[in-house]
Amino acid sequence: MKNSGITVLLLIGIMVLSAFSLFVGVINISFTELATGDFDQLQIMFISRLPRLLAILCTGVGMSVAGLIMQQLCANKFVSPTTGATISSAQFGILLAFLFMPSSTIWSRAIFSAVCAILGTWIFVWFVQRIQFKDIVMVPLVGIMFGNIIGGITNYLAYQYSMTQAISSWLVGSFSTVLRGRYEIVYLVVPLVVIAFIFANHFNIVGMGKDFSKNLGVNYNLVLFAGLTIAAMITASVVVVVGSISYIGLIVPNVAAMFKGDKIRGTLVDTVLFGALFVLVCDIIGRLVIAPYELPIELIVGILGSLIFIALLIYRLGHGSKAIRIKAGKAAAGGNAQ
Amino acid sequence: MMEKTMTMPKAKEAVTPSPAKRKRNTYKFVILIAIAILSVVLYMTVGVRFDNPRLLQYAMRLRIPKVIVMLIVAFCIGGASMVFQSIINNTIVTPCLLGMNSLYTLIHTAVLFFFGTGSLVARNSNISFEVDLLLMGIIATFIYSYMFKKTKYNVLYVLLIGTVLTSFFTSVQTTMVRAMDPNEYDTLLATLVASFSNVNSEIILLSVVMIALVLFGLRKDLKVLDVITLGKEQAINLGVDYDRTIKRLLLGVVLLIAIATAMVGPISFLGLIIANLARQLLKTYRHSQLILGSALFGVVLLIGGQLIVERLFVYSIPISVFITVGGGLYFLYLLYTQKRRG
Repeated sequence: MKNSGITVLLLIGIMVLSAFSLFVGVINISFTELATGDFDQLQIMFISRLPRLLAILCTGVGMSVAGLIMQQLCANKFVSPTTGATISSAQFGILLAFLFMPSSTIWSRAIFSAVCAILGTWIFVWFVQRIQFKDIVMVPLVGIMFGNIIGGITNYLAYQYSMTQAISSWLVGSFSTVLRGRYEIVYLVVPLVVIAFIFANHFNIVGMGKDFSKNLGVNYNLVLFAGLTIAAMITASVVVVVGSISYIGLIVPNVAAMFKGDKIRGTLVDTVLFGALFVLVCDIIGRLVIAPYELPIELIVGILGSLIFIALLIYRLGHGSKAIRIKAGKAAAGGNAQ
Repeated sequence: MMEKTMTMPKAKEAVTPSPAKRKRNTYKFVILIAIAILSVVLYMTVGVRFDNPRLLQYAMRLRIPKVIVMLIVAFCIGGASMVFQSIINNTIVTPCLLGMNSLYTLIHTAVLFFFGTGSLVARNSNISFEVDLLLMGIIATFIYSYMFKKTKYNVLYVLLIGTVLTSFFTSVQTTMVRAMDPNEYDTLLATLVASFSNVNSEIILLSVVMIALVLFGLRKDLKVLDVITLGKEQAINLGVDYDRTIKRLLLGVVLLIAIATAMVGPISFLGLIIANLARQLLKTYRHSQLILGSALFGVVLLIGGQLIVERLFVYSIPISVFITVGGGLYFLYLLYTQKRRG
């Protein structure tokens, strides 16, 4: 019963903070005036505040599920869209869309970005599996390097074609540009998360290694690359709307797993809720610190996220591998790490 | 894992290098020095009109400080990376990967942020340089020695924490910048993007003095570097005060990196490339040779790279992009080949 208590608590937290988030902003909106049907206030609510809230929730849900899927598939707790070159590939795709189709709509940008994100993630996982690192920490390190290289190429092209300014809004994630009519693509996250939930057990099995999944009759390569594709598509649809937000996919699943264990079906709901809550909190902080201006969420997540991540690492080092179950089953990417 | 296979078994050779090998290294040094001098000369002379003394003077006035800065930076990064790699006994790590560059940028921003641009610290570039270095020395030694202790010198964890710290420092710095007064931001930007081209001569002098002081302070510790490479137990057995030496060397590394970053901004992968090239070429474990080698490689790469960027691409690519992409690929290549060998 203790376990479902956490879930309920997370749900209540999300509801309270969502309501709070709707009423934070430069223009004061009062509940009584909304109820009496003040036209201006209703407009602000439905054009800006509500879309923003929905985008926040979708981002939190999407990025944490993407992280969870990647961690399960690679059997490595440190893999995520940030540390797996997915986000930087998605940015690269957006730049390509700008270069080849200057009049591109948000949809064509999303397609470019999704294709690049998928390819980037595939190449990264292929490289990692080929080398078979003995040490689990090596994998995120290579991912970060990979991301740096792709980011360097993006920078170079942007610099070459004077696109630096156009691309910069996708380099720092922020919800301030979310308005009705410009953010709906982020809803793609919902069906993708549902698919992930349906195939959750398959991801779990693939995480246990090639031989194991063969024994259970699961097509290893198919599920592996299909799962990566889902994670990359989620990431791309978030990056296109909000810009890059690092660390959510890394931290949220790890914290959820500390409480709930590694079985993906068991943790998925809590991961989703915790992810939404985390992004919500960060966004509210970003809006309150230097009000009436706001800080991009990427900065708040960057500060909080990196501190939490380092704390997790040091905690694990101090308490042995049982503290955070770093290795789910036999590591596919990590080989026979002892 | 790989650091053991890379350094431990071969370390014996360092004690008694065969005469033939020593000779071969001398040849290599001669060639390397020749290439370095050639690149300096090329950089100084390409496109200069010698027939017009006034143009010649003008060109020299622009180029001489640049070359001096690049020489200093090459020495700082080459030496610091080599020493750092030997301290932690791993050849794929550089201090820049640990976020020391972004820490410096953060400290510089924070000083302006808290003192304000009107203060003496912000207006006098020499004082600001000294304050930055002092803070950097204290904070970085504290953070990194704590980190090494906490992770029990597990290099991979240190690296991972370092890369995460990089984004932490950058986020804090950007947050400060966003909360800053626009006028103060202008002042900050002018001092932050100090590229090769606009370094004043006093800073050059000051940093040369600083480097000399660091080298003088560490002269005893640098001598035992070869012994430290043998590992902690052996070094202690041979009478080295291990912990103290490591701490002092780490402080030196931090200061050298701070000097380099203060002069040209972050060039993260340069150290990785030149230190490994020096190791590959010289195949020795004597640090006097290795440090010199990696500094020379640094000169060749930096000045040669700058020459290519300025002449061939006509400034269309910033050199940092070059170094990031090239260095990242080189890093992955190193991992791949070390894996094969191991």
